[in-house]
Formats: sequence, structure tokens, C-alpha cells
Amino acid sequence: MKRILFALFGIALSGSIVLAAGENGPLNDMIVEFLTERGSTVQLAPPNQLTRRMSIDLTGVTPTLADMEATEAMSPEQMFDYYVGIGPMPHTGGISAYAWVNLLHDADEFLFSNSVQFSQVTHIQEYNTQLERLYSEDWSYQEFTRWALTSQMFLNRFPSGADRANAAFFLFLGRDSFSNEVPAGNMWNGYVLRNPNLDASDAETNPDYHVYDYDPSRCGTEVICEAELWSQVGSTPEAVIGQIVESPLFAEAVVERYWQRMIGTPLPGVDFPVIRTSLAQNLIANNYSVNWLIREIATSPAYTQEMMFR
Amino acid sequence: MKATRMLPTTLVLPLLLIGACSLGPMSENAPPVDSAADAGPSGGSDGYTLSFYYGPMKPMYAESILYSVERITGHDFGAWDHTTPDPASNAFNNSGNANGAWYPHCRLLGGCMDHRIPLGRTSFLGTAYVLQLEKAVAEACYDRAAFGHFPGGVAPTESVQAIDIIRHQFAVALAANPTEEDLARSIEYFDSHIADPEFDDVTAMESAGRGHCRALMTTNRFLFY
Repeated sequence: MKRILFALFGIALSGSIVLAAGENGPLNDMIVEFLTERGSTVQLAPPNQLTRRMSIDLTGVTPTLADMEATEAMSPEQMFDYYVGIGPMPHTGGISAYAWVNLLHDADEFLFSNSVQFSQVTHIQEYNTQLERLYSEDWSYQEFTRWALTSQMFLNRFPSGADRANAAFFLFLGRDSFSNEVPAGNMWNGYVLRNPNLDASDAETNPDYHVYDYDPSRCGTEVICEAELWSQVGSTPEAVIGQIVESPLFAEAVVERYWQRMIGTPLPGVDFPVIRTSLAQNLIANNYSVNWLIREIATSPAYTQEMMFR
Repeated sequence: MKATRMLPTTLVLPLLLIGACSLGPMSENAPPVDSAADAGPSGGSDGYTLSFYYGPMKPMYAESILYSVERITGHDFGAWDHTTPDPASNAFNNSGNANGAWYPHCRLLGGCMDHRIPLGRTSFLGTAYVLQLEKAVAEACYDRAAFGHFPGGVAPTESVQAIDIIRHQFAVALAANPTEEDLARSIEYFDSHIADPEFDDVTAMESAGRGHCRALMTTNRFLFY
């Protein structure tokens, strides 16, 4: 049905089609319900407007005449797949345009935020490589986060366990440690955090300065090894990281991050939490695939609505 | 060359348009939003409810602006590789992965972040932003070696009409066909510029086409998507 509708769009570019509940998936129904409750309707964007939006969001640049011609009669799903399928461009350094543009956003959120300033260049390069796997290899965001919280870049930037806990909450739960939902905890007790044979002046230049070396034999004598979060005591920091990435807050924070990236505004929350919770549950069911999440959002009426200058 | 002649118009227009973007829906198709209690999940006064109703409306990232302008015109701003850490170390000696005008344009448009300078991406669109956008777009559109913004990617021949250039530039820059109102205003622009060309080293049609390119890509219709 939708393909027919979009074919009609190709004939009458200026026409508007009102989407009703039931024509698409559960997320679409929720968004239509959200708008209907508020006396509004979903008017899908004409193809030329949608193709420009998707091209910029999924490749980082405006579409060419050939792109516009190729996508003119496509459904949003087909259009999404078209732009995600575009390979490397001159400016993308050999990676696909889709991975490149997402890395641009990730750089804002992870690499170049206050959270990782002054990290070593080699550590950031490694972090970037792992980030790229999210998009090019469909790596699980949950597994990426497990890796990130034990990465040299993260350990390099945050010298104390308390700092690391705060940063982990902020980056991956979307909340700071003052939130009632995430009581502060020291996640890296018992870890040797630096090479004792090197001087502190080596911190930014010597890759061997920061280490991540857990030594259980020191527990109870030199250091306290139990890490606590949400009143559950884990024997190792990995156990606490497990609590973070398996928390419902984690999946919701991922949904919030990518919704903001694609729609440009926060998710409706207080009065209409069902979109957030549903997306989070489905993200978990899809093995924390951010590619699935981006596609779900970009083909929903929240994204494919007609833009109106105002 | 009278490059400054159109400056007031091209400066004021984007400012007015960008300013208008923050005023709220003006379309007659807009649903009623004057009742704050019913307007959305957060009461309708925070702006995001409106965007949710009307589809996403975001300003392009600085990097997207510059790469798009390069793609549209064929101009080369230089290089910047954000995936390589610490490109700013090359930015100030114009070498490596940061050369040409790329970094100054990009940084002043709020982008090209690096992990050394503790400044986040800026989203405020003020006078300095518009001036920088003006400068970058003018550099590309006035590049005599760049013809991507003309039909066929070549200098306009005698057979090329103003309307051909207008339609081409609307398509590549805005992915849109010009409306009747757009066409009338653009043709008026061409007529006045052909009668008194801005540049004397190219044909009058090319001169007008380069000015039109500059005007088009400094509007909110190019910047927002």
C-alpha cells in the first residue's frame, strides 16, 4: 500500500497524504496515536524533501541529481537502504558514507566531548575503529559499551574509579551520578591504574603509562575490590559494567541518543513514554543493533513527516 | 568586480529567515498549538513538541555544509579528517589532514571539533555564523574553475537560459523545483544582474549564475533540512 502511495507522490509532488494508524508497524501506530490525541495528523514529506533529509542524515551531504532521480519513486524504507548502501565518498576516508556520518556524531558525543579530552591519540584511534564496527559490522551496542568502559582511552582519561563511574553513567545511561536513578559507585576499585615505573609526565605520550591490571591477590590488604552499584555488590568492575549495560536505563539511553540524532529533538517522555519503552524493548530484542534502531526511527512518521518552514 | 554590491541583501535575508525559524509554525496547515496544556508531552512551550509535529527540522552540520557546497559547485575548500585525532595540530600550519580554508570555515560554522580544544559544537546561529557562511559560499560560487552549479557542469553557453540555471541550482542545492514565486524572484535577479554584470571577466550569464548560487546557498532553505 505504501509503495502505491509513494508512487502517487512521484506524480503529484506537492500533494499531501495523511497516514492513519494500522498502515505500518507498531512504532508508526504509536506516533500516529500520539499525534491524533493532540488533534494532528501525519503528512508524509514529498520524495524530494525526504531524499534530501535522508541524504544529509545518512551520508553527510546533499543528494546529487542522480540520487534524486533514483529515489523519486521509493518508499522511505527503500530510500533508507539506498543511502545506507552508498559506499565511500571522497571525504569519508575509505569507509562508507553512512559509517562516516555516524562517526561524526559519535565524535561529538564521545571523542571530543569533555569526557575524553586529553586522551592519547593512539587510544582515540582505537576507540574510533571500534565505533565504526557498530555501523559497518552491526556490532552490538551493548558489547561495544562493555569494551568502551574497559578501553585504554576511557581509563586514560579518568584516573579515579569515582570519575569513571560518573563518566559511565553520563555517557551510557544518559544520567549523571547525582540522579536518583544511578547512585554513585566506585567501579574500578582494586585496579592498578598506572604503571608505577613511569613518571606522571608520561601520561599523554607513553602508551604503556595507563594499565588495566586487576590483581585479586591485593584485595582486602591493599585495596577494596568490591564494586557496588544499585545496592548489588559485584566482585569485579566487569560485574558492575554488566549491571550498567543490562539495565533498562541503558537501552533507553541508547534510544534517546539516536532519536535525538535523527529527529533533532528529545523523545516525548513524561506524558507518552510508550515510544521510548517500546523502542528500548525492541532494541534489546534486536541485540542492541543501532543500525536497526536508526532504520526504525528514520522510516517512522516522526521522521518522514513533511517539514514546514516556520 | 563589484563583489560587495549584493552584500546587504544576502546578509539580511538569511538573518531574517533564520530568525523566522525560531518563531514557531506559521503555516495555515499547522495544528493549533496555542493551548499549551494540550500541545504535547511537555506542555508545548519547549519547542520540541512543535518539531515532533512537523517533522525534523535541523540545521546542517558545518561539515555537511562544506562538503555539500563542494559537491554542488566543484570547489575544493581543502582537507580535514575528523576521524583522525588531533587534526588541529596540523590546522595552524596548514598541512597534513588540515589544509586550505577548510578549518577556518568549519570552526567558525561551529564544527570541526578535536579532542584538544575544549569547545563543543556550537548550534547558535548568529551574525558571525551568517558572515562565515556568506564567505564560504561566496568562495565556492565565485571560484572561476568551479562549474558544478551550472547545467552540465560547464560554463553556460549562449544557448543556456537563465531558467535552466535557476532550475539546476534549485535542484542540486535544495533538491526542489522552484515555485512560481521563486522563479519570478530569481528571473528578476538574473535580469538585473545581466543588465549590470557583477564580474567583467566572465559572461554576463555566468556572472549572474554565480551570484544566484551564492544567494541560494545562504538561505534557510539550504541550511535547514
